[in-house]
Amino acid sequence: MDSRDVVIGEIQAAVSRLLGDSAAALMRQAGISASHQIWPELPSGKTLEEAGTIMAEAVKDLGAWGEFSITGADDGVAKIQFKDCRFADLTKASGKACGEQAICNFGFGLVEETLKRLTGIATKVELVRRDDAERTCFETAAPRRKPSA
Amino acid sequence: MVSVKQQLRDLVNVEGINTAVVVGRDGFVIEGVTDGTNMDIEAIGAVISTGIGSAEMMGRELNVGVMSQGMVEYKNGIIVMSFLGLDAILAVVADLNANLGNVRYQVKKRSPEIQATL
Repeated sequence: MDSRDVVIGEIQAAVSRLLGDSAAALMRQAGISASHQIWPELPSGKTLEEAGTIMAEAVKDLGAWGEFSITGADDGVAKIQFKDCRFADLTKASGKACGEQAICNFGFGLVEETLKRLTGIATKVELVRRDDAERTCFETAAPRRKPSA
Repeated sequence: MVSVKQQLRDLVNVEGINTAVVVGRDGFVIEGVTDGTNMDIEAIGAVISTGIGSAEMMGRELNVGVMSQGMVEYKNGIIVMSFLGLDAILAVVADLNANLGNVRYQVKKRSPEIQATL
């Protein structure tokens, strides 16, 4: 395993040990912030399909995240696939199933923020199921409303 | 059935409580009500989740059992937090001069009702 992945694995393990299930919130925030750091310049006003094409290319450059694709949409809920994500190899150390590790929430936050910047739509990304044989996580990005006080 | 929004509004009507928020463990705000206090409700979800998360793990490490409620006192107010099942958290913000016993009682009493509505 790449030593960079080991470092990420240790960080996620420490965060999970100190925050429990709330590590998800912290990692999600990190993913949101990372969207702006990794891709400071993104176009806006894109359709979901256009956003999927842009993000597929962008995620390729990240390496460890594998292949990203938006495979369709039902009633505005985008269907997402992540294939060959290297963090799947961290499941044994973290004790959490692939798709449910703290680091996965980094990816969810990254996708949510990037989709919002590209399409203007705020979403919540959730894992639907993981196919270990296909090394693929199937997820959805469902539109969400901004809560009002 | 009474909505979560209405249940939180009822909590904010308790003397001394100015904000009531329900957030998911993932940091998303499910619902929030203030008494007019200016607050970015969406931004506080992650800090509430991580705040109660570290308190929960502290209890686990110190072998004091499952966390039932958390309270933190600040210079200008008090925050009382409680778990709503495994996936959500109720947090209320109260004035420093609020009746603390009553605030804690109201949170404890109303948490199961709010959890049932989620």
